[in-house]
Amino acid sequence: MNFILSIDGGVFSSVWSSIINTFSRFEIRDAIDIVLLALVFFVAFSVIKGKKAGTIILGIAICVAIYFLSFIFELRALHSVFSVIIESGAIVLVVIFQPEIREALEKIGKGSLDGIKGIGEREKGISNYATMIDSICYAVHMMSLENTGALIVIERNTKLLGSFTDYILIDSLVNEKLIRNLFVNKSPLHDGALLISEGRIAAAKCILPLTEKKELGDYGTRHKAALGVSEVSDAITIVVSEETGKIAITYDCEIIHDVTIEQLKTYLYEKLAKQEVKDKT
Amino acid sequence: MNKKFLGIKLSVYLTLFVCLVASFLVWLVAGANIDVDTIGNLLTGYTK
Repeated sequence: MNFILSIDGGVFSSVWSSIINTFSRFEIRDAIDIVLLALVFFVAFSVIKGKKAGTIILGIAICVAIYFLSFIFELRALHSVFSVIIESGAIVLVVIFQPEIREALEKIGKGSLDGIKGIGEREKGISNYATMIDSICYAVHMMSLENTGALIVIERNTKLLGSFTDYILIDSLVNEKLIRNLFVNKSPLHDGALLISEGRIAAAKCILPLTEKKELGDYGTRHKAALGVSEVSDAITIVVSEETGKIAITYDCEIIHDVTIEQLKTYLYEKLAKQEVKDKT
Repeated sequence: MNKKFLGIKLSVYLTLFVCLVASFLVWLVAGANIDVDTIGNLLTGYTK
């Protein structure tokens, strides 16, 4: 094994001369190329940060490491198997990261489309958000006082409906009485989450993915589902505990416990209404 | 709050720096036409 890491003069010098040659041809275009690629990496990292995709990336990194190590240590059987895995990696990556790729493309598309929307539409959008936030906060406040369990998912850029395994379509305006009615214990739609999409109640009884994090040991399925959906999307989820009536918010893989109704309202305005203004100006 | 804010900013700058280094390495490897076999050969000292 003493041949390992003993760099061959011929190979090294040819690679070194290639690198020197590349540097000698460095232009401003190459600098732009590097910066743009760095931005692509940064956006990709931001999309997968803290999500389940992050652990998949780690798995891929381990596979690549095994591929290189099997080559270095001349483990032919292992190397041939991992060669096949790495070579078919592009297709596998598209399949595995389909939700993340979709989210990234939606972000790019949304960014370019928002720029051409009219001022009237912007003002209408902000007004809609304010009404929606007030209705949600009032309903959450009442359900908190009555100890009615609730799980409300407010969709943002990531489209969620297609990724739920089970749901009942509603497509209604956001109304505090309707929200409260849907979460009444005896209601056939009270199990699962309520999905609010584009300022409307899109669906009820949505089955969400549960988080695998251990930090929510004492909390029930609602909290685990809320954190689970925050790991696969940029949605904001509100949870009302059936036992204590306490309100919690999940967003971007994090959970905030014991939120007051004023804090909830401020939070939603910060994340939804102000983001809407920021996006559209 | 300020510490948290500074932490967030630092992590963003650090991530950007790492992305910049990674993209520079990709540019270098692509520009010098270095493939996986060449990297392997460099590590093992193997020549055909």
